[in-house]
Amino acid sequence: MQETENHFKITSSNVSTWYGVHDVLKDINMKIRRRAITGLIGPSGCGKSTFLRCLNRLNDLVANFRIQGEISLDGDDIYSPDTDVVLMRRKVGMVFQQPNPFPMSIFDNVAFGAREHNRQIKKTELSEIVEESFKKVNLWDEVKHKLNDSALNLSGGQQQRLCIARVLAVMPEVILLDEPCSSLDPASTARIEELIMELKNSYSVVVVTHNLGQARRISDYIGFFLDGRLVEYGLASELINNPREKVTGDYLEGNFG
Amino acid sequence: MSREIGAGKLFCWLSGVLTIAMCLGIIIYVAARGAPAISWDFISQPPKMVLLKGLSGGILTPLAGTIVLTAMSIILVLPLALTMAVYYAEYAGDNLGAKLLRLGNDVLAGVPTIVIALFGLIIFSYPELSFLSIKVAGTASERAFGRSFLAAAITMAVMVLPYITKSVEEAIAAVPYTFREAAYGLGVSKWRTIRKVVLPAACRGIASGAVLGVGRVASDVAIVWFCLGATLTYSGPEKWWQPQNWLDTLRSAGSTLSSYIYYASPVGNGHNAEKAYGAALVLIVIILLFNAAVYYINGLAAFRPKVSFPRRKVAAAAAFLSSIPQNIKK
Amino acid sequence: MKKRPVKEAIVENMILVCAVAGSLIIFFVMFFILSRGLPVLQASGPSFFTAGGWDKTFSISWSAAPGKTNWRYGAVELIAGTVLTSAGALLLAALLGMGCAVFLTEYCPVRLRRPVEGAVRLLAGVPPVIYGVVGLTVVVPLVKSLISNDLAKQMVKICVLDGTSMLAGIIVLGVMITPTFVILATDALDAVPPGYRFASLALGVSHWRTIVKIIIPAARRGIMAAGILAAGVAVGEFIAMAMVAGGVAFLPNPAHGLVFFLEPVRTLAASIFVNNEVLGRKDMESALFACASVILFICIALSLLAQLINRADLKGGRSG
Repeated sequence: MQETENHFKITSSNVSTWYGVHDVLKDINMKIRRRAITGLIGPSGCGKSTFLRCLNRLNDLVANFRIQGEISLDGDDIYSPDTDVVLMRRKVGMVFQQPNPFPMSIFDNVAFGAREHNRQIKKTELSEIVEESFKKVNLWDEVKHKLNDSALNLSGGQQQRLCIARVLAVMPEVILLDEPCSSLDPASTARIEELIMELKNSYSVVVVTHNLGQARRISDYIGFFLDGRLVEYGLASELINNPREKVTGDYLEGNFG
Repeated sequence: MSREIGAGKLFCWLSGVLTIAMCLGIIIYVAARGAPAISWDFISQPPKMVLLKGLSGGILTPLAGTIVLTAMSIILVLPLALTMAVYYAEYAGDNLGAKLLRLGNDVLAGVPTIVIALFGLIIFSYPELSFLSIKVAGTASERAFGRSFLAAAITMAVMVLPYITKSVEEAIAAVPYTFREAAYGLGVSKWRTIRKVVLPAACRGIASGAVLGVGRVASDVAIVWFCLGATLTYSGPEKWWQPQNWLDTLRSAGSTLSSYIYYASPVGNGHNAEKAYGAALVLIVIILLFNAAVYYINGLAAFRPKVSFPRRKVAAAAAFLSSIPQNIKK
Repeated sequence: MKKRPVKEAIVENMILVCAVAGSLIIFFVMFFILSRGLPVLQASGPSFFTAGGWDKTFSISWSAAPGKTNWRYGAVELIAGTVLTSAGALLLAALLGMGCAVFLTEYCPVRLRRPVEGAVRLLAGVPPVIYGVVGLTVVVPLVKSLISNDLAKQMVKICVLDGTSMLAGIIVLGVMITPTFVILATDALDAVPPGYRFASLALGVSHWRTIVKIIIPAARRGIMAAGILAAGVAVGEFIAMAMVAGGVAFLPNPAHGLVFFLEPVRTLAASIFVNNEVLGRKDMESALFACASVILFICIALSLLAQLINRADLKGGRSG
């Protein structure tokens, strides 16, 4: 099948970044496909998380951070001065390494974003959104009887699913996940992986993962980062079975990292 | 919505700028009005108060009073505060009794100095305690004068005891448990571990606790006014430097910079604002020097206070209160 | 196994003895104050809190014949003075301090933050008596300029309006406790886990709404603790209040409209200081101790409140 620009949700062209004098990413060119799961792998410190955080401009918060190049979402440069960062971030949701529910009730955690985006929203409408979001992450049955409890009382796996539900409630187009399972037990990890695979039917998903097995299980496409460069990027099955670059093969065989 | 954001941001900026302006404004104002009063004579001459002519002279005796009183109170309070802190942090545990003791400590830390001063004056007026000050002659009911360096130093010690205890306790509690484990693992006893491992590791916190006490003693007026003397006259022996006079000197009344400032202010008997500002500038410089000392002790990078609210008792923060200017450790 | 060395046991017992002694001192101070204040509190009953005429009662007691004592006092002016100035100052400090704390943690350029914090810390270390002098020479004349001659003449039968006033007291006290509040509130805001902020921003919530809806609520315990501590300082402040708030125990009358704020007040703590010449006269001394007892009770209440805030398992509190 011939791939056209329309297949791509996010395009990164010649992106380089610095923290102070340290260069972190060097000349990243990457096109991320719609409604697919793109996994980013590589040893720690290779820049994959930094790249992910460039995609919703969360790096802007870091002092001394500098970026060059262009990242576009549906063809619009998200780093252009005309971009409303806040609006852009609504389209690009993010789930973090540590589950980080707000110190609020379970309901308010998921309702928060939706309420902020439409402050005249009706209560019934809000409840519907919350319920739907919880159902999408298969958490509804576990929390429906305790929506007013503190979200901090949930287990780690539940918290992470709540964080995903929180993102879904603002109806994003892209979901970025930064090692979403690294602090979870295997059973919770399996549930989250399952969930991520369901998400790709409606969203473009980018997952940073440390876990090669996980990347293999869930990704459609994989990008391999090393020392701030995108070494190899392609279909997951191809990259894993026949890596073009020798370093990729070494990494996959566990020779380093 | 964006109007709300603009207004909120503007409010924060304005209050930030206003607070900074206030900080700098007050310091600069005191410096500007105090500087003209400062001269060698101002430092080296004792104050003179002549009826109808007002206040003249310098601040020698108040300055000496501040130094002597501060040193005495810290020397008095430190051993007690240290043992109490060790007890609270290492031995007390978390039972009801210990909780009550801590609560008492917290409450007294919040009690204003004027209340402690009132307590001090009445206590030291008991004739049985007249050896700390002097007997008031000629009264039918025998009473001690109750006002002396000794009385004031003891009262000051009571006043700063809870602050320093709390501050040292936090410093001790902040020593990682692994240090203790390592020592116990080597077969070192509990007390030796505290002596040789915990206290040395907490010494910065202990030092800033002491400096915190210095700041409070030097800024207080109430205890000075009530327990050291409400005048500027120094009543002790003239040849105070002779060792045989030292005890009498300490039993006599005196003044400190902060009481001098009040005395010289427009509401005091001295009514000489220029002198008051001069003394205020000297006092601020002294406090600044002490802050600089802590800053130096704790290293430049750690010019931040401990964050104690989220993890420690909030009430513990009563002690924190006074530590604001001085307790500048990580 | 060898027995514990004797020396060690001695040292540990000494620590225990010292700690108990220190704690005894602490409780003795409190007990002494309360016991000395009790005669007046008992004789006056609730009227200590509701009746007025403090200054008048004092001058009557002062000039009473030797041997005649008066144990009934009403301190409503002093209590009102304490509450009004403390509440006003706390309001001022909380508003200004909250804005400043948010400014420092969220908007202040990184390079400016340290020097600014240093300046705020320095201000927190300035002795109260210096605030008193500055207040007296700067704030009081400013307040005085608000009072026209006509107004002063009109009011002279009720009270003297000379600039020393509740307003001056609130301003000086507010400026005095603002640094305390700023430093503690800044710490509380800094202690909010960065994950909350990231999560909120990543949801496409603006920076300001993140501050209002996520960061400040997450720091609210620390902020409340800051308020409580600032309130404690405000209630106990005597020297600056004695200097700028007016020397008379006057009950300001809200019926006077805005002049209310220009009327003099005196706080409980300032009263102990101002009236100290009566010490030695058992009855009046006990009246001052009664004031001290009220302050002590306020301190105990604030301490307990602070613990309560910390303990209460509020919704959204951190849990294990």
